Amino acid sequence: MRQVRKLLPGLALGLSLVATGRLSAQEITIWHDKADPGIAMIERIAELYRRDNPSVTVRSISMPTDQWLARTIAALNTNTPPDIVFNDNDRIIQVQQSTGKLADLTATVAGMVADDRSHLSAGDLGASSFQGKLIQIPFQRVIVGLGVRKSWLAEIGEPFPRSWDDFLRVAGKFKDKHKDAFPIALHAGSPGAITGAGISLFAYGNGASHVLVDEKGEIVIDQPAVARPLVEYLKLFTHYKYVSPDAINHGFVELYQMIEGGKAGMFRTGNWNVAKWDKQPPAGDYVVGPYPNFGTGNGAMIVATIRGMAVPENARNKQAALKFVTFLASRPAQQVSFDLMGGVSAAISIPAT
Amino acid sequence: MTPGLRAFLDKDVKLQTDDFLNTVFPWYGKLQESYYRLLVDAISNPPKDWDAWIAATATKLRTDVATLKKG
Repeated sequence: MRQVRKLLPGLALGLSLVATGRLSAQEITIWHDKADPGIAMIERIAELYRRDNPSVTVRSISMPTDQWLARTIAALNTNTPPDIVFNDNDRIIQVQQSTGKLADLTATVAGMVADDRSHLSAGDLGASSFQGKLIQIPFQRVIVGLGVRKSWLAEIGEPFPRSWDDFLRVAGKFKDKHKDAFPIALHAGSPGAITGAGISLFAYGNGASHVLVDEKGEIVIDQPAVARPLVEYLKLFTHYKYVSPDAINHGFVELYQMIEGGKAGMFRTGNWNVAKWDKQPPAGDYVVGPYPNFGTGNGAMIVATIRGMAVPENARNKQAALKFVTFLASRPAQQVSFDLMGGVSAAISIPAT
Repeated sequence: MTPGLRAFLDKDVKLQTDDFLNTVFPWYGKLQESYYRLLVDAISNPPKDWDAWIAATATKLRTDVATLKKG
């Protein structure tokens, strides 16, 4: 009885807090398509979040991409959405195009502490915006760079190629030295591959803002920053003959066979590739850097996708969801994203070595 | 952190973000298909004058865009 009397004040306080809403339990539901790595990442971020928000639990549900897209659009349109949706920016934009019901997060970002806000670059925010609204909090960059066989560079006594002239010189030496292989692996077997995984990488690497049309829908292929990389890309097939003539029929399977089978000296490398390629062939025998510049400046790596989390306007726990997505920009959350999904962000960039 | 991943974290590396205009223009995919056919044709039958090819290809694509925009 004495023990019960001891517990009563605490119980009363607890009931009071629940009554005032300060401790009311809330479950945030997140839909995504990132399978086990995504589930593990969200669980860990939620654990960190609960340290300051003990009444909030987070439940994440992963489903195949097509199902995610169809279910998300249907749920938003029938006022039965999850509290948060997590995916690549182009898919989040598709949801917004179909529903118009994702919340504008501009004020949410403006309300972040300065250090967290500094982790979101203009490029991150631009890629997360649609028709003047910021529709996701970006927190994972998917980046593509140029990979070059380290041992092949050593054989020819060349450093990593920085300019287009360097690139062609290295490719020429690779061709002379490895007659059973090709200097460059490309896959060009579809409209998306020949542009998105080929010409775009050379054009963006050269600093172009657009590769086919601009934001007004005007053709840009004859602008200098695009035209030169475009012609040089085609000449890799026709003039220099540095790529397999079969590359115009190649998909991912053939591309990876060439890279992992040691049949190519230079190739596209994404940050999602390296976890495998540092252990299995090419087993660390490559260096990654920016795509070459066609003039005198520095080339660039390409941010091919930016993953983020969005909050439906009609989410049941919208305020709790808005607060949770704010946490994604924090250094601890971005470290978890990097550790469990290889998600790159400004928060975990490191000085050059 | 693996050595390969380290390259992507270099804060001094310039990053260029895709414009994602495929998500903005509903006709982008069809334009890309037209462009693909012109590119494959150029690989199969390389032009002698690449500058002229660029100009002609841009003109063809502008015509395509105008048609696609009308829907």
